[in-house]
Amino acid sequence: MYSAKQRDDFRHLFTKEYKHLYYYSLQITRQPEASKDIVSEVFARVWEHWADWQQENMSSLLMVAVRRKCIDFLRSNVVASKYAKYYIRSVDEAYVQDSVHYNQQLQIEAMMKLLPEPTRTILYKCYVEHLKYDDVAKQLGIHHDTVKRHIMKALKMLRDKYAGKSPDDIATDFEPETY
Amino acid sequence: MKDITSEDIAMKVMKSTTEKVELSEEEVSMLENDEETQKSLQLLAAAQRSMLEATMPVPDVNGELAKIINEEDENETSEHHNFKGYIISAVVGAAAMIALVLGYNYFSSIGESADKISKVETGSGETMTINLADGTEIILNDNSSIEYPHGFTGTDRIVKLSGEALFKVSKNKHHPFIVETDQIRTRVLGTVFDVKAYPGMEASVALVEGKVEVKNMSSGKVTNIIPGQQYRMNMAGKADIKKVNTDETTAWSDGVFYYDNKRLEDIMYALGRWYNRKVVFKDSTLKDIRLNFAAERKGSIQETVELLNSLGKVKVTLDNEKIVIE
Repeated sequence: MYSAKQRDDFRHLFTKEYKHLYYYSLQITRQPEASKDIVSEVFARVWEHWADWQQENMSSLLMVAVRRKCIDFLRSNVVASKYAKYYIRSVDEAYVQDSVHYNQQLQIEAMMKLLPEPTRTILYKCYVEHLKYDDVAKQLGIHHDTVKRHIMKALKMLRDKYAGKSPDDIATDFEPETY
Repeated sequence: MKDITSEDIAMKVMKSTTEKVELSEEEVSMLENDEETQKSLQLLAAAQRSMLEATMPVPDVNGELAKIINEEDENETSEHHNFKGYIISAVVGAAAMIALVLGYNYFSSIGESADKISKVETGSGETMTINLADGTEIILNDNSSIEYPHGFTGTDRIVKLSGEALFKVSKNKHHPFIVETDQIRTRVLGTVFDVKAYPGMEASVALVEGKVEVKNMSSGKVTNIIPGQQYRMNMAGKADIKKVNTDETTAWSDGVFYYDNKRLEDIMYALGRWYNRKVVFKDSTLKDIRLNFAAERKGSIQETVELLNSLGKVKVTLDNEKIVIE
């Protein structure tokens, strides 16, 4: 029903945006299957109306649509929390697609690799395996407050890197040396 | 009463979608108003994102795509796919730089976003992939910078480049895409091409596919080139066109140094730029030696120099700041 070019354009959009949207959804919903469904449903809807859609700013439309579905998912599946909006707002921030956030995300990725143990494992258990802070403490045989201290330590490391740094400062990290 | 710390609040909110969390009024007010609290939460979310991406697999993208567009024969557009594979591997080649930059800020709501200009720069040993709002993909080579608007308005899509970049321009015949450098201006409707315009060097445009128009900024003359051709302009503003192997011209975007019968000076200039070392020729006649050379850009400078030496044509040594050729 669509021309080869239209199919190509869609294919391009899909491959370009899929991963970003999937991880965004995964981070909010915490469910791989649900995230797959959410992202596919959004793209399927776009595909239905592909002939009429404006191509410009498709990325932001997709993001907004995925976000809405994630919030619906949270409402129907999890104890609704009046604080979830603050969490989502911060996740949004991690997915803003401009060069400043991009550079920051890169730096954070690099820093995460440098985190010492057991801080790294603690963060992983808390925020990827989604164990309760208390359960992580039990598992590792450490005190509840120690879990907290490790997360604070990680936060401090990340923040020291950025505290007071304007986008310009971060950009100078990328300043080319003269040949 | 215990002091409320920004970290405590951030940690609570991180769990708010799975655990029952209660925050005091004061804590909520800090979430709303206190920058440090907001920053803590953002950093934890960003850390969570990077851990998720590092450990959780992404679903089969092509499989998911096929489900939507009901495509049985993915091979029908093999050429297109080859290209995509090429670009994707280039992105992987850029090490951790998988996350994409889009040319707009989706989060900012009113007005300011479209006109805002972003500047992205790379240093030695870095390449970066940038995806613009119109779907155009740019791979920036080392020691380069590019300025682009967050969203394109008006007739022309204009970006400013210093250094080298590979462009895969999303087709739009009503909105020409223009790459400006100090020396040349390249105008296209949708295509793949490499622009090289480092300060103080010969400038060039190599076309992989499609059609481009190159304008010499000193003479004002406009020239069209076809795929497989490279437009070159020397420092004096004199231009010519030669046939090139575009695989060679764009090899850098695939994460490799690849030179086919190329002058040693050109090769060493690229290596020096990448590894951020000065290049010193003990004997200037060595500059004109021609070499075939290929190496991974992610290899260390020692490994690359060892490879060069193994060719047996030149002797290359390293000291702290220099690469010396004798």
